[in-house]
Amino acid sequence: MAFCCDIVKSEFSGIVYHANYLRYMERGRTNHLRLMGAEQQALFDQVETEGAGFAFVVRSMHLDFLKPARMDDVLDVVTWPVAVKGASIMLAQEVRRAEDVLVKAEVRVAFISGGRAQPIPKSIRILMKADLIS
Amino acid sequence: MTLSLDGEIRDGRHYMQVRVYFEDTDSGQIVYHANFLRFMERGRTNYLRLLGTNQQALLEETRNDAPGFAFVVRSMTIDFLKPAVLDDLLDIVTVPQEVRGASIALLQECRRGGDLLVSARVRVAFISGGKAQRIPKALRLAMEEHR
Repeated sequence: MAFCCDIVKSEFSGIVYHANYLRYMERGRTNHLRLMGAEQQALFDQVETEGAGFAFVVRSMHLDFLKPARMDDVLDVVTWPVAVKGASIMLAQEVRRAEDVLVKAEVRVAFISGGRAQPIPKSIRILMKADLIS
Repeated sequence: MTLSLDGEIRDGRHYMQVRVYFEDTDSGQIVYHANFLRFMERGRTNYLRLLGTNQQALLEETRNDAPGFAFVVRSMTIDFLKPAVLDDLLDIVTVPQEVRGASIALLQECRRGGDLLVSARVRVAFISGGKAQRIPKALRLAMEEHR
């Protein structure tokens, strides 16, 4: 997915505040799931009925801020799964400006349903594994 | 005991408190994960501010050597262990771990009472004149003083 970079907090140097990249990357993860759900509506419906009110929460992240983004930059947020386990999924994400990689991240997410950590639903695990690039 | 707005440095570690407001949460539920980075930035900023206040010479020397200096985050490893919720009073602790030639590694924690909520290792670099520079000696000495 690609979207225009919006500056919420513009520092004196005019570069994007580091925490803002987490918001962009969250949009990437959310849309990744949304599109998978759209492609495989039946699988997502199953998750919804099994566990009403499910959500993914970030458990840990590693981020490398390599180059700054600036106002008016058009950024590409790329998201792909790298590990799919029983209780968590590891996603790799990059924020790019054309060929330049600005930020690299590894994000571990867990699945919460009914306010508690649950195993990743089988249907989602299958979907993610189909895209695994190891 | 209420700490002052900028917190305090004790035994080489910086302590400050942050209250969780509605704006920090996902619709009044838990604190949105990226917001912990903002809290931790306040910790780093105030740590430096107090180091500079405690050592006025440090700040002047840095300003002379490196006009328009700033710290930028190069990398972070963060563990989100437990959630914070509305009205929580959080302790933000910042501990210098390693001061190398061109970067500083800090350990930062967000705690609520005895609970560790978020733990992060943050590497910052020193930028002056738009380029990465060596950490000013005065700053390095100030951070290493209490370790």
